[in-house]
Amino acid sequence: MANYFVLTLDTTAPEIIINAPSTVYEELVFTVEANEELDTYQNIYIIDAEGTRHDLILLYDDTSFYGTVNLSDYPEGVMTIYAQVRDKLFNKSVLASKQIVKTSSVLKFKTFNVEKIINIKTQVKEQIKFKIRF
Amino acid sequence: MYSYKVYLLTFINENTGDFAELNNYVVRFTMPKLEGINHNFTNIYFTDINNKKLVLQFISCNHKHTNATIGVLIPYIADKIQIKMYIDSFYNNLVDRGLYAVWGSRGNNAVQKYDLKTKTVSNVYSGDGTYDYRSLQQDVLGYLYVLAYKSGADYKVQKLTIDGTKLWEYDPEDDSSKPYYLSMCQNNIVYGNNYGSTKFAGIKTENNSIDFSVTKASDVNYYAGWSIDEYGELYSVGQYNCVGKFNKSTGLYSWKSSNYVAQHTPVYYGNYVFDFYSTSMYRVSLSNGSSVKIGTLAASPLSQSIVISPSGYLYFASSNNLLYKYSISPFSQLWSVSIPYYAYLMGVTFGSDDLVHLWYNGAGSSFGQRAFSPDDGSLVSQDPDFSDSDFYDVDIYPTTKYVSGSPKGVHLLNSYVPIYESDRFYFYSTSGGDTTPPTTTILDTDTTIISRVDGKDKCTVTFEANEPIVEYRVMLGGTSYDTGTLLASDTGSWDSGEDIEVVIDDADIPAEGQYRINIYTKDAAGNWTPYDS
Repeated sequence: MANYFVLTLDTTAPEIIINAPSTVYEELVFTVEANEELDTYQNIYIIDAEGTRHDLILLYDDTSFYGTVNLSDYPEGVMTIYAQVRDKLFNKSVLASKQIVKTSSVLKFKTFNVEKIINIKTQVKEQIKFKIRF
Repeated sequence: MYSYKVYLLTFINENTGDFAELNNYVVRFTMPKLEGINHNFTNIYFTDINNKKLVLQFISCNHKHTNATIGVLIPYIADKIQIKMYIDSFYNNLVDRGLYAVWGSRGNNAVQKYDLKTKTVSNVYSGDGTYDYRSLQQDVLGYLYVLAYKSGADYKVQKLTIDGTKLWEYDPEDDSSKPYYLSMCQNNIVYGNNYGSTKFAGIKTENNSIDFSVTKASDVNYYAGWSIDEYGELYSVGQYNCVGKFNKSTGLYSWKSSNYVAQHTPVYYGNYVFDFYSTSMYRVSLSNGSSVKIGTLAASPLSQSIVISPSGYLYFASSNNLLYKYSISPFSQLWSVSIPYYAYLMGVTFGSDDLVHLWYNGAGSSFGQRAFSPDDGSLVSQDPDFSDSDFYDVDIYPTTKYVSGSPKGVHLLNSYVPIYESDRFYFYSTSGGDTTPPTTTILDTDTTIISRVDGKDKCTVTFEANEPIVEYRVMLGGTSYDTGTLLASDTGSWDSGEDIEVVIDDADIPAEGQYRINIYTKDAAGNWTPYDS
């Protein structure tokens, strides 16, 4: 080797984005993505609608963290995801956040044949029944 | 305090890093000052690996300076040689430092010591009653040399221990070589001029034999003062106030400066000798004697009262009772302070506290010491003036002034021979020169990217040189060892191929970005690794 080398000073923090749906039900699937390679350090949590903090451990994948959260114990309402990570040189990102809404349940309809429904409605008005699945 | 130390010296070829091949080389090394402690060697010798005692070529220790240079002659070729240097009986306190004076009245001869610690005077040697005593010199080992004189041109030189034991007496049959006064003692030789300064001789102090004796050359009128450099070369003030380099074998000057540059013993410093004429200060090149007037002094110094500190500042006392400090380059007066009437600078030392210690004797029969701040010359401390006629008219001129009943020579035991704890000294040849710079190679970097966050804010780089080095520098940017921003440096001694590790901290890096880090090493000859373009 020579008698010199190039030394880099990197003081720039990674920029991150929280990718999550705006409305969630019984589970939350989300990622925290950065614009550069990350260290395994993570500070990720959710403040639920009642102000309770839930610390999370997500899976590490070089430039992102990802995972699924079971929301069955979370109250309904607006909750906030917070995430802070750092790059390989320990430069920490800002504490990013994203608000999402949890609802109690949702009706899901099976596929109906509209014409049949209309016929049924026409023919047997009092006997129409919907199957409801929670 | 009585101690004994053995230093093992290994001589390394500067270029290859191997053991040095030695062939009639004089090996020199300088032991730097050991801060805060003043040592005086009382015995020193070298042996080779077979315990054969080697010839001690010279010991150079300017009593005004703090470094000593010791040389030994390696008289044969050896692929590998290790030399033991023995130093015993050194004193590390002030007890045996002292001011020694020699009295000169016949029948009342004595060598006396003024103990600097107890401030008391005692006789250390009662001279031979039929001789007058004059001229006192002292070597780096502390031995005293006095000149005994009896009418009828009967002179002899005596060597005494500081305890007053006479070791030998030099009394050559050749009267014309007999010194009239002893003008200097350096490099294991005591130098003397004979009557009328028609001859100058050096007497080896090991075996009281004449080292050389020359009759003055036709162009040398007199030898007013002598100085000696670390190589043992003699410089003198000669005819018409010139400074010259003196050839001991011919009595001629190898060169001499232009006329009228010298009124006093030239002061050796670096590659120059310095001297003054009236108030003009001159610098004379050691290589060819060319002289340059470097400035004008505010007053004419008293003879023998001019010194240059190890760091290169000029101090002198003048007849207007001032002590001056000048910088040499650029030449300018820094300060002046009052000192006792007609105080000669018998010795100026520069202590670990960096104070300027002036040992003076005044015409008012006083002797004392004052310490001055190097910054502004303010008086920091002083010993009470010692008033005693014993120390009147002391001999600080090279030409002893004989005054019956008064001391004829005073010499301050001020032989600072510091001891440096090291097991390795490097080999310097007396001929040729190493101009090959060391090659520096980076062996490893634990990272090449850092941040300002703890845990990631340091870069450790490991490098080596291909020859022994004495200094390294790690520079950010720049295109040479002395350009760019200094990140790390050190001085010491490293072997060829020895790993050197340096940590670069983010605090030394100005801002985010990429920087070229250059590492330079310097060998003992002063060659720096060049910039790798």
